[in-house]
Amino acid sequence: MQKEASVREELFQKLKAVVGEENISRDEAVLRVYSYDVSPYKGQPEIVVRPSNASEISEIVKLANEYRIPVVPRGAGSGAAGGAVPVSGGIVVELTRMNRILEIDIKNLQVVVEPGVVHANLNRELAKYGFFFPVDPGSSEMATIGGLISNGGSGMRSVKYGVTRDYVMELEVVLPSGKIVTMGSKAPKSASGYDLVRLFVGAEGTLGIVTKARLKILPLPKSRALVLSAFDDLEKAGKAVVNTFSAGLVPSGIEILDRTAIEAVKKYNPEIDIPLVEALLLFEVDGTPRGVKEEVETIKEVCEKSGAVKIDVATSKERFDQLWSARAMVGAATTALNPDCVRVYEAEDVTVPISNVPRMLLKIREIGEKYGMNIVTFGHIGSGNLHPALVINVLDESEWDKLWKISEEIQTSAIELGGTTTGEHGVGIARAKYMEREHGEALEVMRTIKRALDPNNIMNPGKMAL
Amino acid sequence: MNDKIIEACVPEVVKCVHCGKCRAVCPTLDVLGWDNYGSRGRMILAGEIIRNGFDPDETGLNSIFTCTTCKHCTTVCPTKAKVPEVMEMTRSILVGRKKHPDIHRVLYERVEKLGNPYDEHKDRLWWIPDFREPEEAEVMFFVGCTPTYRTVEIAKSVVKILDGLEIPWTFVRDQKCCSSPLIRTGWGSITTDHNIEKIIETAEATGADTVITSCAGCYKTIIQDYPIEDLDIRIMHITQYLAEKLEKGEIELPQKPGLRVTFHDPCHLGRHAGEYDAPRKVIESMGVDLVEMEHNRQSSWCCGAGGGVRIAFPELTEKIATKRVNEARAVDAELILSACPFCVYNLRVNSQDIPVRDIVEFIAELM
Repeated sequence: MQKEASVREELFQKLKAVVGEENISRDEAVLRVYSYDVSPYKGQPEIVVRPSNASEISEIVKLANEYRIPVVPRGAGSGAAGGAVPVSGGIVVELTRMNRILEIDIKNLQVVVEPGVVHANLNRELAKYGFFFPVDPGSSEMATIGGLISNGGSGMRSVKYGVTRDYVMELEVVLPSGKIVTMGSKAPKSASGYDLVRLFVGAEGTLGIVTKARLKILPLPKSRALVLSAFDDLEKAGKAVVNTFSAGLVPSGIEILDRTAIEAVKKYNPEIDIPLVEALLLFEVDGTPRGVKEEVETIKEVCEKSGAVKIDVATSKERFDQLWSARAMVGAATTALNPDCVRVYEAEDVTVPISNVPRMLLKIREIGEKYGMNIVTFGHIGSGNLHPALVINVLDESEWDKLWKISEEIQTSAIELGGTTTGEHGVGIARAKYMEREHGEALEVMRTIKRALDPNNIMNPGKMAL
Repeated sequence: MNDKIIEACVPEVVKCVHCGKCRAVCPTLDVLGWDNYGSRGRMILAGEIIRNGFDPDETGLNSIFTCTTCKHCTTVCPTKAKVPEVMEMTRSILVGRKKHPDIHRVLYERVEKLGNPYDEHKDRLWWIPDFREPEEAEVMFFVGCTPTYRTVEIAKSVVKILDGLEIPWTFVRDQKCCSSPLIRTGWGSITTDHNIEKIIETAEATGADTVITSCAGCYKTIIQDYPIEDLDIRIMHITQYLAEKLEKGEIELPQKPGLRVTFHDPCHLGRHAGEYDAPRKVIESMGVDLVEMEHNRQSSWCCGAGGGVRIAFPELTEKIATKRVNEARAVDAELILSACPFCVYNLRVNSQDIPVRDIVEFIAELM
């Protein structure tokens, strides 16, 4: 996409007229920084712009079409799949200046936000009204709502509360033509027309740029409790999860730490009081105090019958926080355990049917042993979503070879177990090569949609195998 | 020289996995918006400079040299990447290539020539002309350049407190800049050895076994950057010294009941040196109503002055300081206290309505 210098200069000047001098850059330092996200992939843009509204974005996209140059939307750049990495160069459109909560409509249980609103900031604001946006990503403090929508994100509480897709009612989108359209409805439900909102959730900026979103919100639960169940066998832990659902319960979250993760946490912070067993399940239940109490009892019963060797109920805030922090620190602990190594986000988001989670865990362990890597695995077992943490010495080239092989084997295994390579992080560049295997002919339908909406292929090209 | 720094820097640089968690806490990103002015962007640039041969343009240099080294990023970083240290090392490499803000070179030359970064020719004891070294002392006062030449009330307050509490004291003889401004900006250490020699010499002459300083920057530099492992002398921030005396019941401080005060944790005392309690113990012992700002202790918001930023990028510092003062306003504080002359000086010039004092000034004014 290299343009003649004079043409590029002309485009730059036109973009500058749109966003203003303060909000455009082609400085080498800026371009290098915007070449990365959390993934190991890299691609340098030619220009970075930071627009403040949909009209400016529309003008940017129209210019991109005119000059046939890629447009890559970006939120906080905290994605793990290379979705915001401009692999084909072009213009990075950073949306963090569009960070206003436009409307909090409690009586209709909804909120209207710009795409650059940081997830945690939205929930801090909603908490003042006793409400929350239930999607709960681990990257809450940095991830933007636009990024969550575009990557189909979710998090630890998706078992009961679902994923981002379930909360988006209406979207304002700048299409690849530059046209600004609103899709969806303010009504709590709508059976009218194609569900375009769902098409754009998870589209990773390949079909347009989300400039406004109307989201459902819910009242904050009055009470929460955490049940920690220890198992000496991974299969038993898996069965306990299935048995919980069979008992008619839907906890807000069910997390699993296998032995590798427990060891990592205990070494990272010896003060965390959790048993060293084959698998720990963390059940979170929420609701009314009475309902929570009943659900805790049911989970205890189910876990006992499923062979738990120890059950611990956290009702005090201190213990509750300690156990959740144990879960939250696994990712960090992986690096702390291997001081010469760094976690590389590859094969980090595999998701399989719930009943296959124990098999997937064993498979990951087996692959780790085969290549001599201690893979720490943790994740949202209640939604089948596992996050294996691959750590290598990034300065050693041979370690990278090993990493790619492990990544390939883990992701292939997930597909073979009836799952997907990504439960909540998206496809981007990292998982594009699995799209055909995962979707078969449906990929061609996606490509047809892409061509129809973006005939010049300017919107985030090189992603999702489109 | 650069090769050694690069060797030390690379393993720290690669610890950053670009997750962006630091985005929420970087005071310069908060003002400037562009990712290259945040900790993650700076770590990427350090990597590009050190590993990928990037010869930084003006924006690249500004990105590296606008870090206040406040360390807020490291406290939230999942891998505990040492961003301030990486910035100092990267700056050293750039200084070696003669790529740096000119004013930082001026600071270096002033410290080399005059022993202080303020271009002051006055004797360091100009503000206490009658001073004569006592035969015996308990503590040695390391005044630091800012109290000596810019916030002399702080230096005078320390003396007033020590005298008032009848603690025998003396100065560390013939002090020079602690080197903090040089180390933070990549100009290395030149006065370290001199100050250690003088500390030992003063201790031997007077029997004092404790160095106290009211400057958070001097304190952090002496305990973390000076080779003092074998030194049989305690280095304490004045708030630590007073808190210890209070705990032992050896002193009482004047009271100001009912005054609503807030405390700004200096980055160099708090996040860098891990001291959050001592200043609060001292403040609370004075009967005031201590209210915390939204960001406090480990999550304290930088005042924007550190890391050589104030002198090289004053407008940026002003905006960061204004945010901090607004936090004090939001909790209806009648007085902002801090424990660092540089923070006090910076917050004071950026606070129109709320007075700003160093804890030692506050104590001394009531004595």
